[in-house]
Amino acid sequence: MADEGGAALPETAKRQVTDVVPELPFEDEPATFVLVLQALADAHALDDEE
Amino acid sequence: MSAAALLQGDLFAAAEALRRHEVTAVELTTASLAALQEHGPALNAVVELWDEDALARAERIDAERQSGAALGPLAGVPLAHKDMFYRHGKRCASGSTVRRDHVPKVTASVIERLDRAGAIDLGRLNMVEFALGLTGHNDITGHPKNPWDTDHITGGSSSGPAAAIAARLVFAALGSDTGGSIRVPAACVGITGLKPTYGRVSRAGALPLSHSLDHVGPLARSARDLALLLEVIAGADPRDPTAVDRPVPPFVQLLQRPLGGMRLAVAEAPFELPLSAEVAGLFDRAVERLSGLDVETTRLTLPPLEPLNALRRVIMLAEVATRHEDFVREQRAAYNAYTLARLEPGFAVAATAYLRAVTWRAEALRRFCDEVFTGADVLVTPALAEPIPRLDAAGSADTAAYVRLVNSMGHFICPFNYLGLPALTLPIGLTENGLPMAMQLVGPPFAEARLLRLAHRLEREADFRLGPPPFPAADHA
Repeated sequence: MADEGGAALPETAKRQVTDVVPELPFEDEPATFVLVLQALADAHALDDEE
Repeated sequence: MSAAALLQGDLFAAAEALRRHEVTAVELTTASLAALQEHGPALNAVVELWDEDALARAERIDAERQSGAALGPLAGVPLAHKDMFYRHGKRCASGSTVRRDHVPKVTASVIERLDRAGAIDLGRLNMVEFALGLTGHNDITGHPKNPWDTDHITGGSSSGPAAAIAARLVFAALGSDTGGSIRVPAACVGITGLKPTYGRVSRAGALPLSHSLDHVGPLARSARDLALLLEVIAGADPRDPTAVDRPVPPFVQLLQRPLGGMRLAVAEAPFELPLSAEVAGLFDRAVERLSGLDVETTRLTLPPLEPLNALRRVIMLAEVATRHEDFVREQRAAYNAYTLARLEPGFAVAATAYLRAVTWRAEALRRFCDEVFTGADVLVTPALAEPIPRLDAAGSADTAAYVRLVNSMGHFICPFNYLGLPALTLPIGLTENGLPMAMQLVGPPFAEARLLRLAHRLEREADFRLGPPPFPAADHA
């Protein structure tokens, strides 16, 4: 849970987020993050591991 | 083999010795308590030991074993954990003054699972105040010290566990990882640490810091120890809705599967954050050693990591500030100044920035997996970019040098908190200052078994492990 608090002032952080995520899609289907993780696991996991 | 000699090895061997009646739980518990009492203070690794409770439990487990009762996989193995896992009725201060006298009314789900598996809980290990720091410093409880050179940092925030495990005072511990707090200290002290997939392990009853990024996982001296511990603590938990209802693989059994040409994508320089020449040399030599295994190695230019770190930082700032808002208002003076300096900027993070970073997370994960894991089973990266610094050079104040250092330490590590992917660090050698260096294995979601299997083979067949550190001298064996 370690972190670099103070590494990014809030205004810098906001600008960075806008730079990284320039446009949020309006077509996305609602999904929780863990469901996406599970779906990707099924796509990438080896047969012997799950 | 004596209990003290077993304590020099790994948890797995100790559990086997217990099953074969070659050592008792009381002997192992006594040896680990003695080592923690004798050497823990010099490393600032220990907060509190529960000697009487631990020995009483060890006696019960020995009696059950003598009676032929069926016992759990960790029956009689002594452990101790970062001081942030709640145990009903036992103090849990989380490295702070604010919660110095906090006595939880609940027990963490992972602690309950270890109890059911027969582990013996020896007590609380030191940590960074509220787990908010990557170097390991803590002005309140004392800075934990690196057993490879006590003038150097342990990394944080699972600093006490890292120091105690590396120094052979305890076999293994649970830690937490919101931005590297398992993997960085493991790297700094020459042991191995696993941050499981987000959702693999319940966080219920663990001190929360940033709920979107918090992960609970083990630190230990071998990959097979990590596998054994993960098998016990993983799985769905009604107390933590993010702990997914997905089968928990038999991680220990799967260590024996052949690598079968596992495809490794090795991160290729130039990196966004250049490695020091010394670290680059160690990483390159470690990559060369991979060729001795049954793996296919390709080189990969990493997707940009800094954008992922920026998004993670925003989420963490906002969630940490939210979590601490009431404490800060009511007990501001009880916080370390540097903790406040890390925490308070979060009060000014725009809700739109936070939600934008949260919303983008799934898409960022899809893109990263498409780019990296379509052609590879495991991603191999450096863990740290520079040698482990001295305690006084790293400092604990909120200076520009500190910020530069922790951003460097987290560069290869923190993206996988944002992405929720499983990641493991293991040692690759020593730098010229005599301190350990590590590399990182990253897998697709829920591919911990793959990482553990690879790390196990690297330890066994390519010598990716370190012997005991100089402190303490192995005369307590």
